[in-house]
Amino acid sequence: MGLSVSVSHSIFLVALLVGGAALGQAVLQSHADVGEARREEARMRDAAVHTTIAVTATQWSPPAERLTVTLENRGSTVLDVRLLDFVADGAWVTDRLEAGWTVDGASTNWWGPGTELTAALSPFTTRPSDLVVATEHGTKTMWRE
Amino acid sequence: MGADTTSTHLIFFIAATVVATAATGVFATTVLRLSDEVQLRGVALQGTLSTEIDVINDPENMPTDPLRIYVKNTGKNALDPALVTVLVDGSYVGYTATLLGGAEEWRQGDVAEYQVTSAEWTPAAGDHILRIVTANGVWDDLRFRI
Repeated sequence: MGLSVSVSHSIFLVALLVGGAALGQAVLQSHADVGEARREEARMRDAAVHTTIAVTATQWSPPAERLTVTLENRGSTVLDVRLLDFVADGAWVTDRLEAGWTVDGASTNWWGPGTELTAALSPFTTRPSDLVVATEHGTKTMWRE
Repeated sequence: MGADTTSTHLIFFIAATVVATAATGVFATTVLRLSDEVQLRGVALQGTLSTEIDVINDPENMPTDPLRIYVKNTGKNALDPALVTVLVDGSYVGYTATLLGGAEEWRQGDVAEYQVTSAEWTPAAGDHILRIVTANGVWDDLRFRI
């Protein structure tokens, strides 16, 4: 009888140890993954909060059907010009962005704080009367004629 | 007498071992399933935290026939544009989804266009609100006027 009880208890003990270890590992791993995701979310929120852009000038070139836009990065985040989106007169026109944009006169994809981006969009049949520019963090600016 | 007692003890021993092993098996299966579910929940929560979308339309100039909604993926995860729910003025509407700019996958920075025809929603003058909801529950609103 005593041996039966001892063996049974031993089996239960081993099962508890193995099960506890497996569950504990899963909980720890999940906690670590969620923690990392929360930090990533915080970084995303931080970037969005510190992103502000504004249209400072526009220029329309009728022969070339081109709208040249100058924008200023008034936030503290470095933005990627390639991830900007443009909506003119309600229509998505990012595919009309001409290559050769400049930031403070330099050819670069990085649009840093306090610098001006000059970009051209074409072709348009008529001059757009409003423009939305959206960054990779979801921050937007609007220009209306 | 001795042999009877030994046999009885042996039977009890075997029975106790079998019962303990069976109980252990049930316990192990349950714990493993629980571990898997905990990990899955962590992965799901991780996905939700890393997902972000933004509607980038001009609210004063919405294309209405068909209604075109431009949704930018501003999160870290690639998303499936076909698994999005579009609600206009609180009602579910059917749509046609297209990735813009030649994108093959809806990654960070890419824009998906959602077209809602007049068969699904009739544009009427006044104030409206639309909501885009991803498969993992992340959403963005846009209030616009026609």
